[in-house]
Amino acid sequence: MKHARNGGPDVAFRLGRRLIAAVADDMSTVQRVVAGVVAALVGISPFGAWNEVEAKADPIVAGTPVEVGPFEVTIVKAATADELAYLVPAPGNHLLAVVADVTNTGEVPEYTNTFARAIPAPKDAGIIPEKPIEDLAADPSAAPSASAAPEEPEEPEEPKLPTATVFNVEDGTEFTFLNPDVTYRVALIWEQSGDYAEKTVPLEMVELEWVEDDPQGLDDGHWFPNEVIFQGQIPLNPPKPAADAEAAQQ
Amino acid sequence: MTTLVTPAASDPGQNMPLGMAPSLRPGMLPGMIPPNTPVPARRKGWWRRNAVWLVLLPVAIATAAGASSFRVWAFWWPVGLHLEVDRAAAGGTAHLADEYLDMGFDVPERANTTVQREIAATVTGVEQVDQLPPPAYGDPVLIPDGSVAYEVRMHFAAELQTDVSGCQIILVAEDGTRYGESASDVLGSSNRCSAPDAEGFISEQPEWDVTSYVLADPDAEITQVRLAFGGPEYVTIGLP
Amino acid sequence: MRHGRRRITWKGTALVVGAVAAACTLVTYVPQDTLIVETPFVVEGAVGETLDLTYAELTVTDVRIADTVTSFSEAAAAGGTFVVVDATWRATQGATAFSGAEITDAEGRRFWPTNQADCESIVNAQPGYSWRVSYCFDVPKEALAGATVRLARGDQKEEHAGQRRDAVAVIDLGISREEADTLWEATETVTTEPPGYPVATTGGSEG
Repeated sequence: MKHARNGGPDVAFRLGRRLIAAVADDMSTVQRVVAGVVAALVGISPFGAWNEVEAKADPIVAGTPVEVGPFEVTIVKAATADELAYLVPAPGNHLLAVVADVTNTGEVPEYTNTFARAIPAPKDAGIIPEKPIEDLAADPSAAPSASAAPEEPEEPEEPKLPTATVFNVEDGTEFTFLNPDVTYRVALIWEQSGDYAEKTVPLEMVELEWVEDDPQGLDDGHWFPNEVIFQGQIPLNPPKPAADAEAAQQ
Repeated sequence: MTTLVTPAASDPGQNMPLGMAPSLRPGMLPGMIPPNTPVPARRKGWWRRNAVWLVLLPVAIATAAGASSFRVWAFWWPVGLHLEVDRAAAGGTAHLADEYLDMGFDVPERANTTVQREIAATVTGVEQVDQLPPPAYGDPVLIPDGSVAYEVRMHFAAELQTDVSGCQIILVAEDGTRYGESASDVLGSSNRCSAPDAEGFISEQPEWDVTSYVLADPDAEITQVRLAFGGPEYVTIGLP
Repeated sequence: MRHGRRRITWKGTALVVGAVAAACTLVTYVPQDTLIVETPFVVEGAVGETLDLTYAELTVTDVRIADTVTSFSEAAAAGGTFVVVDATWRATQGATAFSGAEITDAEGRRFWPTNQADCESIVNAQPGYSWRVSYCFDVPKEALAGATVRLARGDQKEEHAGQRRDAVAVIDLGISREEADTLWEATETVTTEPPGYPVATTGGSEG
């Protein structure tokens, strides 16, 4: 042979090249493309490409703590109210409050808004959707529209349900951060249609995934609400005098 | 090194089939040993070969830095006073010209247009005072412990309907400390450059006087007055 | 010129694999959080001391522990307990916004201030006067002993990114283990004042 020493890697390379040449030389372009695609599909199989996307959600039990991202959350109950602090629903609607105990189990404060996004508005429960920005510009009132139907007739796609307003139940104040290791009893409040007459409210909790490096590089290090990991029906109590007093305390 | 490359000095780039003799050069018969080929002269040194690129390197670095400086513009330049547009000595008049986007709140015809604002400023007096006058709203303001108060009187001239909102009348000390940089003054007024009887931020006279009060450190030596409308442009007027 | 392809050898392969492995190790294990050139300049002090931060002079005048913080319009109840830090800022360069306020406990956990009642988190001040402000931190019991408060011009989000190469003050709140238990048990109420000049003027605070 012209090239003297046959080092191991070189032999491997040459054998491999011969093998592929032997197979591929006789194939047409189309056949080569197909063979390449098949090889690629086979190649990604060991990495779990074919696993079914699991949409498994554990049940929520009122009174049992669950871990959602950096928070430990215990749903206490759901209640309705006519007015809470400065929130006044449109006529015909009332306010739905989901009361929960939440503790930040991390080492760094987390935004209350991150927690609110982990518990989205109950679907199909008559929650009044967010008013589109264009409407807000025309109409200065910040409350969502008084339409009782959850779907706007003009919009073909499903309207966006608002993120909850979060209040500290003990003193009726709002706060921006949840400091580590401090337990708060909070109320997540949405405006709900007065037509909703069920005895329970369907509640979901969404997994918060920590995104260290954002693909666009703009938002490194944030919690990203991903898939539903808990869901259940929470009993909806009619407003008792005790619940009213503690939720509407000023 | 381990790479095995047959130096083919006489046949550049020609792929020789295995087992065959080098191709014959003119004048040679098979079996003859080719004469010594002259070793090519040593190539020019690395520095000489790359001289042109080395000269261009600083230019490239400067261009790259400039191209990456959009953050300097976005985050630093517009915030604070960085461009002195005019300077006047004591008693002189400085002309401030800057641009802003008018939202049309006061003059609807100017809504959403970029307006050139021009104003001529003169300092008519800067002196320390022992008491602050009562503000337009709220209780009287006492000069806090550890501070002194200066009364700054200025004379402005500008076209009618000039927007003077967000104006800053700043006293600059010898060590560079800037007093009164905030758009609202010690009396809580955020309308420092409007005439005393004016209702809003739009000038109604071709010329008017204003008085503004600034808190400063007791041992500060005030040497300049600066006028700005949020920056980055500003004018400096020296003090005697 | 070259003749044929470059041959793959053990040495060459080892070089390439070694270089890639070294690069991966470097990227994974060399700490990238705080480069030496970006660390803040920490000025340490105690309650009552005036610290020079170049852009301001800072004095923490008082530390109080309370279960409830009240103001004229609001009463806030702590989930844990409130640490109310009274501080006086005096800017020395120009109009400055002081955005950094954080309590760090002995374990390294971080706590940020609330805006309930008249508690502040971002303070605006200028040279020429001292500006008094109260910060309120809702902390759990274990955070009290050995807690320090970190106040600065830059903010502390994203691992103190806003404080890079800038001066920050770290003040020991002086709470010992024994004191922590007593303070936790007591149910105090603190009334905060809105920010203002240190000597109470008759109501005319800066707009």
